[in-house]
Amino acid sequence: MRFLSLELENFRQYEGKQTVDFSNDSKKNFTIIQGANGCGKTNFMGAIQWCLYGEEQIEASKYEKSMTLEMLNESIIKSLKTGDKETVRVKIILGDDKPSLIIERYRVYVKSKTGVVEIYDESFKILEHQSGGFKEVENKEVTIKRILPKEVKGFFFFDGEKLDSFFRVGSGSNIKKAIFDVSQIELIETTIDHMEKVERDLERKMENVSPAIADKSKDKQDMLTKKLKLEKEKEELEREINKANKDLNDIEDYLRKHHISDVKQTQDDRDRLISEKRGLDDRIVEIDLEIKDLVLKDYSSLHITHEIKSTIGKIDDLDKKKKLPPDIDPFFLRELCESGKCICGTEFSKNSKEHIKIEKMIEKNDYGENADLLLEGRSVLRDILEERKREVKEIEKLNKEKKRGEDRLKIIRERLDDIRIKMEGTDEEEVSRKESERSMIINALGKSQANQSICISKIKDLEETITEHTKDLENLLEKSQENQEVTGQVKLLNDSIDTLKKILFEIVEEVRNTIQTKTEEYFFSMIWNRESFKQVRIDEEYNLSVINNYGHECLFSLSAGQRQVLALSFMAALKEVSGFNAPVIIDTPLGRISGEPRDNIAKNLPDYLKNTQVTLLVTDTEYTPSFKDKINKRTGAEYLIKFNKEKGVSKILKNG
Amino acid sequence: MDKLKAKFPRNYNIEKKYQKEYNELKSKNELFKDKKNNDIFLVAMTLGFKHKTFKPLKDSYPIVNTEGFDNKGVWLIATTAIGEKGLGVLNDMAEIRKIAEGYANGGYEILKKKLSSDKPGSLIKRFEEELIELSNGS
Repeated sequence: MRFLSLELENFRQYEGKQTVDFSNDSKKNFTIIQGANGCGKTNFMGAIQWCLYGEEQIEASKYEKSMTLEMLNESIIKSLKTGDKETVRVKIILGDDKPSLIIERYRVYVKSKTGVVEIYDESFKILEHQSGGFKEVENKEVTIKRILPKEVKGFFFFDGEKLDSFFRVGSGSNIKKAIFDVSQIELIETTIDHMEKVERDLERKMENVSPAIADKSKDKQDMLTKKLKLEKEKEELEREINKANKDLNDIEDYLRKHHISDVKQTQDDRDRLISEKRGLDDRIVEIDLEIKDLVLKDYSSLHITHEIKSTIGKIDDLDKKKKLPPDIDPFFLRELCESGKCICGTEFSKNSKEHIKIEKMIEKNDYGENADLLLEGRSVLRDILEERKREVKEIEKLNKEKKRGEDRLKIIRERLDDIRIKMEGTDEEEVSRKESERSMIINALGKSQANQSICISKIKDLEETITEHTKDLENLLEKSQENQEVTGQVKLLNDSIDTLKKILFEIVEEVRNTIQTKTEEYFFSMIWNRESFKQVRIDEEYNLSVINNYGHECLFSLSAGQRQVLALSFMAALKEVSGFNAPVIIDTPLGRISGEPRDNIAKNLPDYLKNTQVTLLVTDTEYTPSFKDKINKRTGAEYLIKFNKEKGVSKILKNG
Repeated sequence: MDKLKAKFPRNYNIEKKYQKEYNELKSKNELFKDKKNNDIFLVAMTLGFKHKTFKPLKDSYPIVNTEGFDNKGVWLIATTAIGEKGLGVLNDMAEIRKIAEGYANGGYEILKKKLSSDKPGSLIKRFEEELIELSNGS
């Protein structure tokens, strides 16, 4: 379903009624709305969100800069007299070709005797086209969910300027949240919670029966309470970490864009060093894993080296004696013995001279049946010894590389320390203050991350113990004859909870894999230097990485433009996986990127989301003639937001 | 290839009481984290064979799946049995299994001691040094 039109009335900067007709042409799927900073582009997106969900969901910093608390146009507020009423209205018409849904939300304000503007009335209605014309929908929530649930709207309506920080800071938890949101698993999670509650109630019922059951059950309850507490602690730490990462990113952004070139340059140097440090840290972890695998692989064979050599020797001997394969197949000889008849027709009895002779021949050629096996074994055992020689050398080589990396890391740490001292000691008071703040955040971040790891490990341990307790409890309950029925119920609940947890895990894993594949697909189709990259990965901890042609992680050395393409690709993947074909609206799609990368993105953006209706809210600096030229073929409608500075009001005008 | 593996029994057993410890090694131990029961079994078996500590199973538990061995692992098991009984043992899979399980059972206690040793340096580093030292000497 597409947006056909949007009507705004007195919504924030937009005084009076304003209409935008979105492009509904599948080949020209882009609608461009251009406007300078502060003219109301973000509020345009806010209006759509308010109409659909009753909230604007605009980022706080933008809110502070450009908005008052009330959404009624300020110029109108000023003109109101006591008792006057005025309405804010947003209407969206949706459909494929013809209108099929009209969603309208309005809010009436009144100016009170105290001079304050207050909400007087509010209404929200949805009209759906049916056989007899448009009829009001009763269950509005379900209809909105059908178009686009609130939980996934962030992947359809988003701010391009903020995308960059999505991957730069605390990416694991951001990505995890996005994947969980898009998986739409809340129903399963709620069911599990409910079942666990029922299970606890049932177990409590059984406590009166036996002290052993009561004890076990109490232990389990205590552990569950402890686990819940730890999970809350972990969530709190996660929030702290995200906030610290965001604050850190803001400070570094401030330094990166500082007007004093030395400050800017020093921060650029730090960015480069941090990027190199991350690369080296990752490589060292990789080396450690490679060494661990090699050690484990070769350690077993090491203790039986003598037997390996001896077995090879034994097989070699047989081979030299031409017993592999043998002169006569023992299978044939056994058949002769069993039949008691020679190939010449002579018959012989079991203990006859001939029989004993053939038995001896069988013994001599006993390796015959295993000839192929022995030849295969010799080759495998030779490989084991050869590979071990090579791999021991490889371990030594990896250790040398690790040592070089550690030496370089030492230098980088010293240089980063120098940068910190330089920034803290600068005459620029604000820079020095920000740098000290940065150091404090990094220290706090380190502590929070360490505490988070401890928390995760404690939760894991508790989970294992709880599983064991649950099994013990099940056994005790089974033995208790009086409670057969409840025992069965508890067991059924346990099995169901386990199954649901497995399903939950499988869904999230599948979504993670699909998003990884789709992100890579979009990224490779939009990035200009495709040949430099090999893979986009989202690991089990939800960390996103981009692997370059040398097989190394390069997320943190991507340019701002490349990161923007990656972020746009990730959003497109999330959108696709969500299964909703709702329109996409991007505020400032090119973010803060300038120069050549901007041109590169602009060039490739028309290929983005080919079968989706896309609205781009672009700044005048973003919408350069070259960008316009590149996207022209795909643009079906173009608007200009004109802002009257004196009145503080905006008008949306059709452009072109 | 894999002719021998095809003849192997589906599972190898360990002493039941060690099952939990095997799981703990796979979830927490620096060397065996995220590895398979097969990896622990092979190290225990070769250590047991080296130190000649054969200990028959009392309460067997089949948690080592043959599928989890590559061809090299299969031949390490066979070599241990050949070292004990000669090449003819290849006709007797039950005997190979008995020998492998007995040495893995005996060797597991040695492995535990190695893993909990308070010698300096990380566990992997210690194993790595032993590997390099013994390989260069062999």
